[in-house]
Amino acid sequence: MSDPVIEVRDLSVRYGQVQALDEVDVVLEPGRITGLLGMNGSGKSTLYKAIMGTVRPAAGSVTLFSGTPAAARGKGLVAYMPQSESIDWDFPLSVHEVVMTGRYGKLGPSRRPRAIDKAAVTDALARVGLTELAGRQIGELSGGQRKRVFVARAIAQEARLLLLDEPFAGVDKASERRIITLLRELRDTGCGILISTHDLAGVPELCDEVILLKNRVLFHGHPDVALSPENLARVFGLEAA
Amino acid sequence: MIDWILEPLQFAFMTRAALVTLIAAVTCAILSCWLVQIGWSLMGDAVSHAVLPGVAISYILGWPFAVGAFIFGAGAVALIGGVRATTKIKSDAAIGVVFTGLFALGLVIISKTPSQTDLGHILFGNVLGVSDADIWQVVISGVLATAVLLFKRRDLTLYAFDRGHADAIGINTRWLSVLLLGLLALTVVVALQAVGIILVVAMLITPGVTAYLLTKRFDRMLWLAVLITVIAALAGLYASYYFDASTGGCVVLAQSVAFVLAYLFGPRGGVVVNWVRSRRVVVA
Repeated sequence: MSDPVIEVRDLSVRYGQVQALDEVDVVLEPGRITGLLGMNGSGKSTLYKAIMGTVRPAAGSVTLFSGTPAAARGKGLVAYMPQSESIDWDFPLSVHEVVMTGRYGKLGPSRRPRAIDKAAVTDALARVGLTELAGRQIGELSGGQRKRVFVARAIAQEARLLLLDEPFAGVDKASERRIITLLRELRDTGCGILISTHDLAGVPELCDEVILLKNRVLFHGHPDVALSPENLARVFGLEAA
Repeated sequence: MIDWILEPLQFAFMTRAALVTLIAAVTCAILSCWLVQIGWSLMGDAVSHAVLPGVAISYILGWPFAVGAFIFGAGAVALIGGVRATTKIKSDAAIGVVFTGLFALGLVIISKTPSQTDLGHILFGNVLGVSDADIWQVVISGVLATAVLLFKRRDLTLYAFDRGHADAIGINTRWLSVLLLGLLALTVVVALQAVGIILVVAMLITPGVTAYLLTKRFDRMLWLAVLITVIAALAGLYASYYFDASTGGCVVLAQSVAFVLAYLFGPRGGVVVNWVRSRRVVVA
């Protein structure tokens, strides 16, 4: 078996008095789509931040591709798809320009794109079906098209680990299916994909495995087991259920 | 008409004023595009006020004014960041408490220093009285800030748009924010000579927001901001000459007029344009 994409060991993160993550262990293999389920405040965002290296853990370690997170990020192996609410959709950038930012890690200090970068962006836009909309300002897209911009950016980046934050929020069914197909194609090329969501409906269809998070890892395994009533009651705190 | 344009340029003080104002206006215009997109407009206000003690101390010690101003501008940024990081005070309050404190320190220093330092000139600019030494400081600082901004423009735009992605691909966003704030301090030093402390913030906001109303592309926004600011600066300079009015005031007022025109007639949500469009829909 090849090296894990993510290896998190005994990870604890605290914000002041709040224990956001408590001795979390997560190992993700390449070529798998993993769902990360948990309520708001369960530590999903914190786990992402720890993987991205933007929060300092109180204890434990994060290893990406058998190296430090900084090394993996420096090689452009990590792609992050933000939640729609955290993006300023009125920002004066075109679809093409946003996808091009996926190439920045490969460019010189002024990030001037070369012919090969323009070709990579054109290819990525074609794969997600946004070729015709490349010149549009990003706010002029539908919810599903907006998500596909970020999938295209990850493709242009040639990332090997994709971190997606609520990728199906505000997305119509047709776009959702299209995004799922794209993610499966990326998985089949050996990408590791981690998807945080609290939308349970698509999970069994989409994910190869599921992590249930409530500041600790409650479960990590097959989606059908993860979504058993007992497990859902534990992670979503429905004691009476 | 030609005479009307050339007449003020016969005077050395006017050509100097034009040079200083144009360099300051262009540097500010470029920087303003990122400041308004990131939401750092207030930081411009803060840094411009906070440099006052630096300018005062420079005059007392006989330093180039740019040195003291830059130290206090950068120091204000560091203090604001420090207050935010170590307390739960909200961002705007942290900015407010730091820059007013430093501004007050400047006022006290100037009031207790018997010197030829004219507070009015620092606060409102004295572009008609700039010395050769001042011009050199403005030219060097302005060209340096503009060159760095343009060289790093793609990274700065990514930082403004999606910091998470910049982090994910290994770009040092902390360093980028320090760079941008450092350039802000440098730019304030440049603009101080042209329009004074009080109106610097206008030059750091108005060109950016005006250009934002006119285009959906950041690259075009940069060029439009420069174009608008150059036209406004020239219009302001001539207005100030022929009406014998405050130069800084005229330049900023001309920028404000440009903003009002973009607000009313801009293609991207101009008030008049939208009104006409909505009427067309009703008629159709």
